Amino acid sequence: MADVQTQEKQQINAEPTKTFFVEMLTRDIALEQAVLDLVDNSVDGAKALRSDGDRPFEGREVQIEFSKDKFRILDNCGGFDSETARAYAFRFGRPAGMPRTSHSIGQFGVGMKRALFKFGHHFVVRSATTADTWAVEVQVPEWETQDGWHFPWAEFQPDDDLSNSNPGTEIVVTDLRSEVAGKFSTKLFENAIVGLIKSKHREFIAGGLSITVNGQHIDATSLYLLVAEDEKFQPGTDELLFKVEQGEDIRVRIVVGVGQSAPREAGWYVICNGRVILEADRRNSTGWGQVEEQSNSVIMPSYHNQYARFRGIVSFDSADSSRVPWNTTKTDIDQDNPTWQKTFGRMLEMMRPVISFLNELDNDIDEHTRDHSPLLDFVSKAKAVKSEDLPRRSAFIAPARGTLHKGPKTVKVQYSKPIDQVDFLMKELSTASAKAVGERTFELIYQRMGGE
Amino acid sequence: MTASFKRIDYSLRPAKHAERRMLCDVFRRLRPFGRVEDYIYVGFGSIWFSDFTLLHRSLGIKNMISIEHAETARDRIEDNKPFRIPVDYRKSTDVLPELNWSRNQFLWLDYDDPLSVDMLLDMRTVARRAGSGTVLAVSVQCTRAPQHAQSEQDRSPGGPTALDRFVDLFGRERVPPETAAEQLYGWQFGTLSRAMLFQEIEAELATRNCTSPEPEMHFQPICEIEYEDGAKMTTIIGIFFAPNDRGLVEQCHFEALDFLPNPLTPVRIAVPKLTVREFKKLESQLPLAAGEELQLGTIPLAEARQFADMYRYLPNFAVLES
Repeated sequence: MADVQTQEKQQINAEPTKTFFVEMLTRDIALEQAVLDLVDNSVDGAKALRSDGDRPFEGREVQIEFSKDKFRILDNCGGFDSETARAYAFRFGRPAGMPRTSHSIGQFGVGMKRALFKFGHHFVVRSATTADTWAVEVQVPEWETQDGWHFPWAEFQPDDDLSNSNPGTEIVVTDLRSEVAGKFSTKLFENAIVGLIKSKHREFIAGGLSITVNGQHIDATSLYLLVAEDEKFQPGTDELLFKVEQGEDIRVRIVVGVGQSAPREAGWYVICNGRVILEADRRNSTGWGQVEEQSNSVIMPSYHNQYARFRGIVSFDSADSSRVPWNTTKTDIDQDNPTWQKTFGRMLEMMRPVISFLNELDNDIDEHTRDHSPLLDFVSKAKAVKSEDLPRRSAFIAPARGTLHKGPKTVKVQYSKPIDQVDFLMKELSTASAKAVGERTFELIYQRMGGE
Repeated sequence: MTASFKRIDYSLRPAKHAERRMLCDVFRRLRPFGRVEDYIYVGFGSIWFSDFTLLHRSLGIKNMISIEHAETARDRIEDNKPFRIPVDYRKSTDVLPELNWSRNQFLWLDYDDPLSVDMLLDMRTVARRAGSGTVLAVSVQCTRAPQHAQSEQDRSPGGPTALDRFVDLFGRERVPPETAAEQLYGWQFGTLSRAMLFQEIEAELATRNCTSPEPEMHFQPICEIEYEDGAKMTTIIGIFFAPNDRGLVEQCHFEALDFLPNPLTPVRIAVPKLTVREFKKLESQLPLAAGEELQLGTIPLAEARQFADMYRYLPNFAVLES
């Protein structure tokens, strides 16, 4: 008796409660990202089965369905065996010694659990490999009150979707949290998920992975950069290789250049092991608005719409996924990652000539107007090429202002007049815009004054 | 943007006239939710106030507010307004949050322009606050998306298409991923605009319902209308209701509205081109008893059908010549 008392006095209980764990885990991720996390798991399965060639994921499918009552994801990406499930897959965090999928994108060992808890209060996970099958079923509120950190096995029934001959994984969450049910039932959320998968998993879709969301098939998209056939205009590309003492090397590819004018698409794209982490990023962390600390001089301007044609793509690839610079939710870069820091300087170097060119382009349009700018005309005639089809290493090349053939020097005339008067002239001159009224009246008065 | 009353003489818009009467029919059916004269009507009265006049005269609505952003036309509007209607000279985005939402509203946001982000934000403002029984009608122009003009003006080959610009403006969440370029023209653009209005309301209600301690709120579409007096226009009409009031919505019997096509599709208001004599000839035979057919004489069948479908709502025009 006395012994027990002493022991109780000595040991202070610091064990986390399960409820605390569930709440904490689910708070630091947006619902959309939690859905993507599950897709990432399927992609890792597909990566383990990849074949050679242009479309290594051909035949692999991921089906996602959600509504106000239920979330379901089903893939045919090989499944995982009951030993992996028992020892690793449901652990919170990745246990030491766990075998890793090479080039994986779901490396933190939290994605699936976080998504399950975030969506609802009841889940079933079923998986089949060619040799094994298993299922787990959990009532979360009940589980939270029980001692121990184990999930109960459930009986696996093979069906058309999953069996040893059709291996894969299915996750079904029901009894959804009310805020989740609300979102899952809206068209806006569905559109958002389709849009996110389309961009974040573009490389895998392009590689043959078939993804459907509520029955809707998602097409691949690519990032295009403008190239002129005569080599007067081409994106800058570079490849870097970082060796690490222990572990796997990291390969980095950087592409910078000019695309179509589209403010929402302009900026940096950061890709880790094929998964897009940042899209069209225009924050300081990717170089915009950089100020040199010592001298306080601006080394890179902040984003402005005149840079709506800027495209920068930086891809990191390593067999050891803990080496690539992403944060745990895969929504941003890990700025402290040494590979990122080394790459960042090169990104800025390569970005600068593109920004200078876009400033030149802006000046040229200012001087000649959009209709007569030789530089804009040149850029508009360039053809769009997929970023993955560009050469491995090349410098950014663009024509300098004034080197292109141009007509007589022009100047822009701008003035304001009462709307009624402009409307009157628009009608009298049968023109469609105020701008056309200005141009036509100028031409008329020029002729009348005897100009040639 | 020139105020629309400078471009269009509202009194000469027969399809708009018919739509106004349809809305009046919807309004009349709201009895189960209380006396219709206790509703507050909120509209964009312009200088014509045609909807206000109709609702006041035929339903006795007295609480009315007109929203008018053309502050410059203030004197003319004050000179023209009937029935001492208060006019709020600000943008709808600013006025809507300040309405008295504890009372039932009948809102007709009759925008002259094609769908914009501001309009979608107005949908959210209303969906965030509307009480059970509040009716929302929204009209937008749908001749073609203005992004077509922008992409034509740009003229650089390979530049962003109208659809790129459209997605860029609204964001990819709002534009259904399967949207095709031709959906930015004409009635197809109308269909897309209506879908985007509905989904914005739905999204806001999903947020409202998951966080609010109050009863859930739903939105039930009543009908969709397409019409054209020069520019193509489209309208959605629907009612907000709490689950407890579902029975009241059923008692309104919106499905029995005279102008609704069977099966339910968007109502297309077509104004038949008929002479006064033909008008009278058809009117004398309507409404048709079951199995009966119209005696047409020389009247074209298509025009006669349009007339039979819409005659209760069409205006009677007379030209007075000395």
